[in-house]
Amino acid sequence: MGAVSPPSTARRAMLTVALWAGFWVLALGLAGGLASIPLTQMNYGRGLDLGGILAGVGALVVLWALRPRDWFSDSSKQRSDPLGPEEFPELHALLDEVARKVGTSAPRRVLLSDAATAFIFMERKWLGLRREPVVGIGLPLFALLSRDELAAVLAHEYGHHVGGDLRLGPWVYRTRLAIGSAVESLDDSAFFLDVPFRAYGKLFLRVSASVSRQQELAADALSSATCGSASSARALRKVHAYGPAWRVYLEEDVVPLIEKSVRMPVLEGFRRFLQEGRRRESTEKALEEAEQQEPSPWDSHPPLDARLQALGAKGHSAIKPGPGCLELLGGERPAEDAWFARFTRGELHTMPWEDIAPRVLLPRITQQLAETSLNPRATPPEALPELLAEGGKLWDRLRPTGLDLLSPEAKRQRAKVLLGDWLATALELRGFRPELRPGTHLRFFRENEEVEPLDLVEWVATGQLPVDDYLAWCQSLGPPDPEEEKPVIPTG
Amino acid sequence: MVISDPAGLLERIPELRELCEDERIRRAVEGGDPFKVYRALRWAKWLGKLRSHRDTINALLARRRLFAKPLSGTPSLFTMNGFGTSFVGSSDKDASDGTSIAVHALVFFFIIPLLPLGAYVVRSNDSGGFRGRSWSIFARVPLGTLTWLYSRTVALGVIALVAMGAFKALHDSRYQDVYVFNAFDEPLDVKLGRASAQIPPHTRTKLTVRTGHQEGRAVSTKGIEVETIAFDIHSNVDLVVWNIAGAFPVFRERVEYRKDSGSPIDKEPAEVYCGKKTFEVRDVDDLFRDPPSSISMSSSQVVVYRTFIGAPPSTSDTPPLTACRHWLLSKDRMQDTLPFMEAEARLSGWAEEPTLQVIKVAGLFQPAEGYRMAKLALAANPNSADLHRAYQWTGRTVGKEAELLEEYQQRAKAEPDSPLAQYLSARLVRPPASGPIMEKLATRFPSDIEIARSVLHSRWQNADWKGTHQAWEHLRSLDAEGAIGLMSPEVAALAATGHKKEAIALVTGVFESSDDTDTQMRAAELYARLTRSDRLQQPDKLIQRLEEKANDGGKLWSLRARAGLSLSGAPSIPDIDLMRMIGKDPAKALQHAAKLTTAKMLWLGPGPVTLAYGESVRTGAEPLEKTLGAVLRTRITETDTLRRFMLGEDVPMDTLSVEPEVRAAACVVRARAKNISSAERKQLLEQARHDDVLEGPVSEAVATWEL
Repeated sequence: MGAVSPPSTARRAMLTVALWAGFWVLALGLAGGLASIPLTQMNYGRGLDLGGILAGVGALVVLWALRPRDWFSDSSKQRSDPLGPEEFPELHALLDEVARKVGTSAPRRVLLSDAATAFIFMERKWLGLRREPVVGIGLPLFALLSRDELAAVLAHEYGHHVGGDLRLGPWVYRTRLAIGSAVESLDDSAFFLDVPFRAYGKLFLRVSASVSRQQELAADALSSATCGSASSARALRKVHAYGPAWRVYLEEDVVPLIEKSVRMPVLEGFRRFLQEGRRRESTEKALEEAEQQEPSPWDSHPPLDARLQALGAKGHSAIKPGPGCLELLGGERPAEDAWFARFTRGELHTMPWEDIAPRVLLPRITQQLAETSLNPRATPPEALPELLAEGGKLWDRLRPTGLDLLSPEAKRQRAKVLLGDWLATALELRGFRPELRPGTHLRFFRENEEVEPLDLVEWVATGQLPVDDYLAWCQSLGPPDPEEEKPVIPTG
Repeated sequence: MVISDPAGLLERIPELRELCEDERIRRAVEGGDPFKVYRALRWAKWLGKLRSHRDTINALLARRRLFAKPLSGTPSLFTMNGFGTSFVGSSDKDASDGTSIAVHALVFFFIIPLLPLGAYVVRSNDSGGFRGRSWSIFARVPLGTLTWLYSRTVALGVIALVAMGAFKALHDSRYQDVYVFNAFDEPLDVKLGRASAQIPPHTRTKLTVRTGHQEGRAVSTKGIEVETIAFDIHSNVDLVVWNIAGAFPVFRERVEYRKDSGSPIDKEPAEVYCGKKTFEVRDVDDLFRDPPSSISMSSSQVVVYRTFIGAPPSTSDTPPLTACRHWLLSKDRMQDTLPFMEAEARLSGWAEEPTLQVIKVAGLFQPAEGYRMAKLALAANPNSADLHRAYQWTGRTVGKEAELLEEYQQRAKAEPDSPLAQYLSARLVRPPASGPIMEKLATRFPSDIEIARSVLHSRWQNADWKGTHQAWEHLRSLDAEGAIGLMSPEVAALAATGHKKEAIALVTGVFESSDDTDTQMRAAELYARLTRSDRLQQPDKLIQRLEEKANDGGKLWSLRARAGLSLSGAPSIPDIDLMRMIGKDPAKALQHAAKLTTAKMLWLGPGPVTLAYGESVRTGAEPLEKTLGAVLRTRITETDTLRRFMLGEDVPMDTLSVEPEVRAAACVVRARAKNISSAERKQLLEQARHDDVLEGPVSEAVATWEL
């Protein structure tokens, strides 16, 4: 059975409380110091002067910024429905098994998360008189990790509970909230009142992150002691390797489609995303940014190398995802059902990835462009060079109503996206079949021809594809097909 | 280069990507705060960085809306009487959506900006003029360069003001202005804590002193120490004063302003700080400046009070020290004059006149202090007979008779040929032995004035009228002016030996020839006493002349009372009432005596004081006995012996060196003692009649007091 060293827990607790107290000493000290100026002037001087009045106003501003806000809000109301033991007995069996090994009781509530991570927190009950642990497991973990590896992750989370880390959580949270509220209220204060709080916030984040990193290592140790270092190490490596990808995939592919009331095979899409060789440039950049982030003093988790080293594992060569343990949720379909039920609202139209482009995306684009000068039936593909020459003005002409907050280059880029959409509809009218793959732009296929409209626009814009060649290619497309009504799936 | 972009700035402003080669700009982008990005670009431009991207930077800086942030609350738009917050200005207009950037600022007169608070993308919804506009507010944007510089300058100014206010508050809590007053006739160098200054005469200065316990010292320019002091200085009061020796008449008045009155009213008598060396006043409205003739009040106020602290100007006719002395005497606080009287004496180098005055006052209230001062004065003026006499008097008062005898006998032995040394030793000898000794010295030193004076006193006290006259004539030949000062014994001697006309001529001559008011008053009193029973004479003739000269014709009732003249029409004031009753009803006289100030008691003649003292002793009126005893001690040091004599104890009168009128009064009082025989009583009354040559209140008491 694993254990967490009590002295280190006590030290972390003292440090956390000290940080909380330090913030209030700073805040009330600043307010008190400012308030003392007019009081001292009235008591010892010949009355208030302008400096005293301004100091008094400053004290009131600081105190207003420190007022309690959402400190005791019940965030449980925002949580999704738990994964009940009746519905998911296998999962709860695993939770109980790991809890026994760790030497604690399994949490009664288990939540499904949309991130490639797991978490545990204490939920307040009975008006705060009782606290119970609640564990959350991300959907992708069921797809990426084996049963043993998931058990190691659970053991790690239990380690936070057993180690007393969860008792410190509310302190950290409240302090962070107070600092954030003060900074927000005093943000860009004309009188630099936010400066001390920003400085303390940096200190606090640095110190609390350091404490958090120690907590993570301690939890890793418990996981290793309970479930074996190999399983723990593999789980860490998989989460590290594929967690960022899941986030990017979720943000750039899944969420935009859900917003269009589409339900797709999420996990299958993720597998395709991982295997895709030619992703969108923005997606590649986001992945690169996520994977290549340098360690910073504000990280709440240690770097992977440090964690693996602590576990005694060597190297981190590429690791494949899977085999997964979706059987704990009754299989992939039930797992996705559970996820969609808890994270989406309203009616969704279920369809495979292959149907999304022709049934959802293209009809929407066509509808949006129909009332504009980029109607593909009115403006043939040959017009692309002229339209490109307009640059950002094309965006100005066709942008949706709302504030114009884009730079000239951004407008040009948005214009290109518009042109890409327009070209996409033009291609569809000429018999090209649209296809959407996770992580990629729309692509179009006709017989042996494959066209990615956005690439085409970029090539013409940059001169990679000479205008004459482009126009010749346009000629080869042929005329558009006759007009036909296509159903547009209503979007949320 | 991987650039973290949590705010999606690179998507909105792709141009930033290549500008992120500047470290500051990259950190700002990765921080996710568009305002910081804007400022980083501005600094890059000012510092001349990224010159190859200058055009891009200028283009971005020209469009602040690119760096918009979501609203975090609605900026308040509120004005009252034209002062409040509002949007001013309009820049970066977008014709397509009608928005522009306006500055949210603290304004006065609705549109004149005082302090920029922020900038926003807004759209004005109507054109109701600058007072009645409504706005749609979309996003926050960074302030323009000039506006930002202005706001930061104002912010720095505010911070400076607050810092100054803090410094001032800290200074005010740790330091206090102390007003130091110099009532003396010469400048004083004062040091209080670490502050020092020279204060011209009759004025004040202000010293800034650290709070807490501080020590001060005032010294004349010649190095004569006037006062040392230690007191606690507090910071939470409006006024702290060091009134050197308590000699300056600083005062506090409470002025009342009423809506229905035409001018301010001094509601309460002023509190005068004479005699107070240090004091604090908490709430002062008008400090050393006249209160306003009128003030404005709110509708709910009916009366307003203001506290006024004032002091006579340095150009005032009455010197401040004199004003304080008069005020203290009027309040029967003579003992509070001691500090500044002593200071005056010190400053004069212990000159005789101020020194004798302060020793006399000290003898009344603090004999030990009088003795101390006499010693100091003698050290400065070792050959002053007056100071020696004062020293011997105070020494006797504090029970140092044996030491005095020893001291002066030693001196007499050491200076056998010094008339002063012999005289001073001889005068310590108690009667009746003292008389012959002094007569011997007079033979040995016939030209010595002090010995001649002492012989005159001795003979007068023994009622040797012929001898008194001879002694006076001899003294006059040696010191005419001094003899004038001792005209009372000569007048008594002339009156007792049937030479009343010569006595009258003497006092009339003195009255005509003297410039001194006190001498003239004494002469006028004696004249009245001498001529009271003579129908051909006008007893108050000389007093009337004094009244015309010095009192604008108003009656000098106290002098008339001393002279035994009619008091018909006199006001009912304690000293007049006492003089009315002292010869008739001692009990009632005592009641009036209880209301007298010490200064007034000193003004009473020796007879009335002794009669009143005797009655207080007889009736056990201790407080009055103590006060009258102190007054009597200025004339006679053996008050204990006198007291015992008055109570009827077996004490020989000839051991007392007292003037005849005092002896007469003592005999009258003793005659009322229950433990004496009727023969003695008769003898005592005879003695009293004999000794009260000028037939004053003592003679009246002999006739009317119940025995």
